[in-house]
Amino acid sequence: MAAAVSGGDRRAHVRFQIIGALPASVNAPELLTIEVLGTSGALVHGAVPLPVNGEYDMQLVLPAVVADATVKVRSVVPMADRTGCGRFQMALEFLAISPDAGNAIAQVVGSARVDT
Amino acid sequence: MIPACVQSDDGVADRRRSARAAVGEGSWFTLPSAWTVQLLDVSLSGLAFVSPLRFETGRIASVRATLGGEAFTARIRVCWSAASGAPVHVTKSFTVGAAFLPLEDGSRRALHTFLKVSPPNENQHAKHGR
Repeated sequence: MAAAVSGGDRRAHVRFQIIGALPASVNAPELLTIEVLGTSGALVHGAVPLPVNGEYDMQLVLPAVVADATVKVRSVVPMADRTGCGRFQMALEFLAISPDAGNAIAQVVGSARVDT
Repeated sequence: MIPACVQSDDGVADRRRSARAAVGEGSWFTLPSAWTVQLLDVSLSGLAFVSPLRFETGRIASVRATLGGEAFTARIRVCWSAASGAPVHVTKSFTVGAAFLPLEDGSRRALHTFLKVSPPNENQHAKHGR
C-alpha cells in the first residue's frame, strides 16, 4: 500500500513514482461546442485555445448529419469563467465542407436565424 | 467573412455575408488531438501525468507510452485533474490522475514487467514511491 496521503489513500495498488522523464502520448478528441452556426463558419467554445489561422480537419456533428469539415481558426477569446476551468470562444471559418454538411447547415440556419 | 463578431450590441451594422443561427445541444465539432504528457507515477490500476491540457473528470482517453522498451497502450478514465505549479513551456499545466480501463494482454504484460523488473538509474525506470 502506498503511503497515506491527506484524507486517506484509497488506492488499491502501490504507485511507482517515475524518476526522470518518461513521456507519453494521450489521445483525447477535443470537443468544441457550437454556439452559433452559419453557412460560412461557426462560433464554438472549447477547453483548448487553437492557434489563430490554424487549419484543422474536424468532424462536424449535427443532429441530422455527421460530416467532415476543414476549418480555419479566425479568432480566439478567453471566456469569462467562474470555475477556473478556462474555456475559449473561437470563430471558425469553413474552408471545405461536404455537400451533406452544407445542406444540414443550410437547414439549421434556415429554420432558426439569429438577429444580432 | 466569418460569423466571428458576436458583440454586435454596439450599434454597428451587421456586415456578415451569410446567415447564421444559434445552435442548441447536440451539435459540436470533434478535433482529433494527441498531447504529449510526462508521466509522474504508474500503478497496476492507473497513472498520473502532467499535461498542458486540463482533462475533465470522467473523460475517456487513450494513452501510449514505452515502458521498459515495450509498447504500452491503454484506455483511461480521468479521476481528477488539478492545476499544476510548474508550467509546461509558457502555458499552464495540469496534473491528471486516471484509472486504466481493462488492459489488453500485451499492455498488461508490459506494465507488469515495467513495474516488477525496472532497474534503477536508467532513463526509464521506476522507483517505489510515496
